[in-house]
Amino acid sequence: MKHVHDGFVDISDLREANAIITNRLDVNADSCNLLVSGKMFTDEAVLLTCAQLNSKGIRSHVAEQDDHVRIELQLPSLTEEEKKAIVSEFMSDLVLNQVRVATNEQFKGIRDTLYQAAFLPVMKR
Amino acid sequence: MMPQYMLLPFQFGPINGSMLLTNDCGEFIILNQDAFDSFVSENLNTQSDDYLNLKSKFFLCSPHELSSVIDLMAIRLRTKKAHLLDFTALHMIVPTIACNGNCVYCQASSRKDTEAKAIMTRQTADAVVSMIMKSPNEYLKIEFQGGEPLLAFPVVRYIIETSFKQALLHNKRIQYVVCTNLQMVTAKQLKFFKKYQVQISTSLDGPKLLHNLNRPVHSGEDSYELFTENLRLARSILGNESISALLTITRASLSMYKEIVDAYVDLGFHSLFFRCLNPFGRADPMSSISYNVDEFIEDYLNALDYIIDVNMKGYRLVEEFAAILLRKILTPFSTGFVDLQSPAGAGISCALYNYDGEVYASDEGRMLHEMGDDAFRLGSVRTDQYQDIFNSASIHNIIADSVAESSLDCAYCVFLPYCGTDPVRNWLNGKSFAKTCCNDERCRRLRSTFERLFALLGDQDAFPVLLDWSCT
Repeated sequence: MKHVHDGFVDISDLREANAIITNRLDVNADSCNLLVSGKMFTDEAVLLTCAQLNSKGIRSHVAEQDDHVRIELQLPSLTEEEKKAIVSEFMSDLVLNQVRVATNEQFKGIRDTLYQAAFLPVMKR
Repeated sequence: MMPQYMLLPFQFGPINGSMLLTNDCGEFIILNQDAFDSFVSENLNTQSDDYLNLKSKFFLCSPHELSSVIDLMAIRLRTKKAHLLDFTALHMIVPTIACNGNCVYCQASSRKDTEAKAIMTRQTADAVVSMIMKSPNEYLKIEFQGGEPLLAFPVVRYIIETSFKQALLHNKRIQYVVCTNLQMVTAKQLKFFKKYQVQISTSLDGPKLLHNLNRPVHSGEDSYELFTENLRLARSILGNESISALLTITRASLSMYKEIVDAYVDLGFHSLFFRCLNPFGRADPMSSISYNVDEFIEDYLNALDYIIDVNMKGYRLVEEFAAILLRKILTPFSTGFVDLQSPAGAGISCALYNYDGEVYASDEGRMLHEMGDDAFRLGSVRTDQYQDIFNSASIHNIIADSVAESSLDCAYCVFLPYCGTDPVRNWLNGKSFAKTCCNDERCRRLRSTFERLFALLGDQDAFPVLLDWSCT
């Protein structure tokens, strides 16, 4: 299993990772460990995804190692289906968040200008 | 090579296998995954329909056009947020908390009319009207809530007459609404309402059995019969268009959406508003009348389909909550619906004046006060000046914390341009005006409704109905 390292599933290839998690997720384990290449996903995207998951009540632990980020999703007291759904959702959210983080960087300046153009004339009124 | 276009700010999220994109102007577009990938990687064919649609809806522009495009977007954004510009429009007055009704879900913590003597005095009413007239908004709405306002009809009449006169002096226009269960309305009262073009907002929970179960009266009389009898009287004096109704869903109402909708049609209503229980007063989430949010969502979405079907068969019936969302999605305009604004409407779009002169940021804020929590109390008309109340630290805190755009959960939500947080619910959930809890019940209910509406907008049969609702 070239996509599994020290118990961490490498999600650089999402399709492969999904297959591994679907087939090999340990239903008795309280956590699911994912490995993310820093070249594929930025720290911001990983942290945003973890924060979103955290606000849904799912805790996670993130650690950097070399060019990778290790993510431990805490999944106690969940059924097998629930665990798989959360991990699958985490991975698809990570992909979307990567786009969100990248585009948001571009949008900051435009948004500042837009909101000033919209509301400064009114505030001066 | 320089990209031929640049991206403008947008949110996005998957919907039905495609990607829904929205932006601060309130525009939306649905792209397939390939087109979305091309769009964000700035590789979209500039001759394609997707490119032209995205450009016309301010999702992209040529770099040299940015300045003029931002000016256009600013006008659209200002129009979308127009509710912020004129300050508080909706002024709710509770002339008494006494009530002749005994609704199983009473959220207002009303008291039996023979027990509660609390009625607003004329002195307090004068101070309330004076405070309302200080609002910078030219267009005001005064809404009487309860309790049952008609138990304090002399005060209601006094406030309407006084505010009507003062509005002429202050160059304001006022629309009046009385929220009443119609159980004790008289022809004399209705003729007074006609003179001042007062709108009636009432409640009908469905067919007789359900209505009587949910909305009994203390006297033990047949609540439904009294309601229908006085509805006829009210319509004969005010006309059908001046009376609207809404309903509250209890556990007993679940799965009865067809009977409920049919009851509205049978009584000649052309609109209805499906409301879930608010977790205040008797509507405790743990009570026997309660249900979980998923049960409500399923029931509501089924009802929505049924109501659309009723419309397609030729009877115009608007589901008002969906109509509010559709106005936000399909028109460039702001809505006056204070529960779904960013920043929240509490205090800046609405305020509530209790019978004792206490001012709250919203009706739910007063409900919270009845439960012993004064987090949303802004002051008192008897002791505080306008600036003390409406420019208070309390309002500043509520508003600053209720900007959905700055909430982690909402900032990236594709429905953000049409949504808003509810500081009272946030306070109930986590003692914070800000949204700290992701995917809470309110959020799930709203997301499910938005998802269904966007799916229905792609349905050729349903679209004309939804477009019609958005124009009401």
